[in-house]
Amino acid sequence: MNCPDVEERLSAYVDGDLGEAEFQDLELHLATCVACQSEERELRALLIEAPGLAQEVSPPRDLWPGIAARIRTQRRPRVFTLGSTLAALAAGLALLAILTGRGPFLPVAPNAQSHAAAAGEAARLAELERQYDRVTAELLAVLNARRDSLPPETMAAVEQDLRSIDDALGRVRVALASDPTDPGLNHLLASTHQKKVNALRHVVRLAAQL
Amino acid sequence: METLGATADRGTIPFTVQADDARAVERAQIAKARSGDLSAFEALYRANASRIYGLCLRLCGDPSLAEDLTQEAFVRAWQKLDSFRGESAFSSWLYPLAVNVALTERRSRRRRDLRLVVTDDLAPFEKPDPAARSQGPESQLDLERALSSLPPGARSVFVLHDAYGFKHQEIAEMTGVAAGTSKAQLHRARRLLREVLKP
Repeated sequence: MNCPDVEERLSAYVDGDLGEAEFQDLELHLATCVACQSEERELRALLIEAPGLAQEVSPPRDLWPGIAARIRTQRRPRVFTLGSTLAALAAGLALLAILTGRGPFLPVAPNAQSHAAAAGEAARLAELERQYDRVTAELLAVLNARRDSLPPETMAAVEQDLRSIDDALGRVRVALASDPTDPGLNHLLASTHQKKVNALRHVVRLAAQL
Repeated sequence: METLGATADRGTIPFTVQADDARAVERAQIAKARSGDLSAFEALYRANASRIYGLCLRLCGDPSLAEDLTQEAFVRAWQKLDSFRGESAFSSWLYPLAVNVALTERRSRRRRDLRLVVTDDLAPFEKPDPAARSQGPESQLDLERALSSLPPGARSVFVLHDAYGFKHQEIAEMTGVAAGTSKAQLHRARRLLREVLKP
């Protein structure tokens, strides 16, 4: 091992990261090379001084008023527990059941093909969507509050899934706008919403367990 | 039960208060802050401001910018308080958050600075005058000045690893670089610092 080799490995040497063979070679060189001994001394002196950089430093002025002013303009993110969230969701789903006249996540029954029926169906669909949106918003809020406990790749996969579901919802809505009483489209809308709720429930439970 | 007698540098906590009690107080403050109690969060700020300002200052080297980063870090902490699970000290949770704030700011500043082609102040990039270097207590000042000559990435890794004792894997998670890159940056930082600090 020569001087450039030692220079290249000196950092790993003082950190104890060298393998046995390299460690032995380097020590052998150090034993006889005054220049490299000097480099090692300087590096060790640097490492002795470095922790001094971590000392506390008081800010030159009180920063709290600025922090408080910014915080006051924001609402504290709500504290969610899995229990309270599921209870709220249960209440929401019960309301959904009343609105749809059936189970909240069951396919919606077709109605008579009249203008009046179509108008009524459109209003019911709008209310159904509002309820689903509220439930998914609650779950998303819980997920956002816990997102740091999930690996980034998991969050990325979840977000991609949600985007796909939202795209699908968008396409169903466009189709329903021209035929709100179509039973197949109604079924598809409900089942796509259900898919989103299920995906969110799953990942919220996962986050709660981590 | 650990007493704080051997760790008198942990802020203003009296020697007689025991570590478990201090953690209990901190937990109570966090719980109150989570429910929206601003005065409890202020107490958490007062207990940790010097730590976070010191870290931001070492990372960016600019006292004024360090103030902004510290404020941003605490606002971010308020927003993310629910994700603190209490498994470590509050300060341990704050450090990575502050590092993230500092590095995000640096990345956005670098994007802005890409439009600039000249710099007026070359002083931070020059080697300190060897005659001005001194031995003893002022060597810390030499190190601080030398630190300002480092490229930002190498500077961050040196501060986090050699000053604050974070491991390469932790640095990788905080900064978004690979652990191997962190090691290479540390090697580079140490070499550059030794060059700048040579008598």
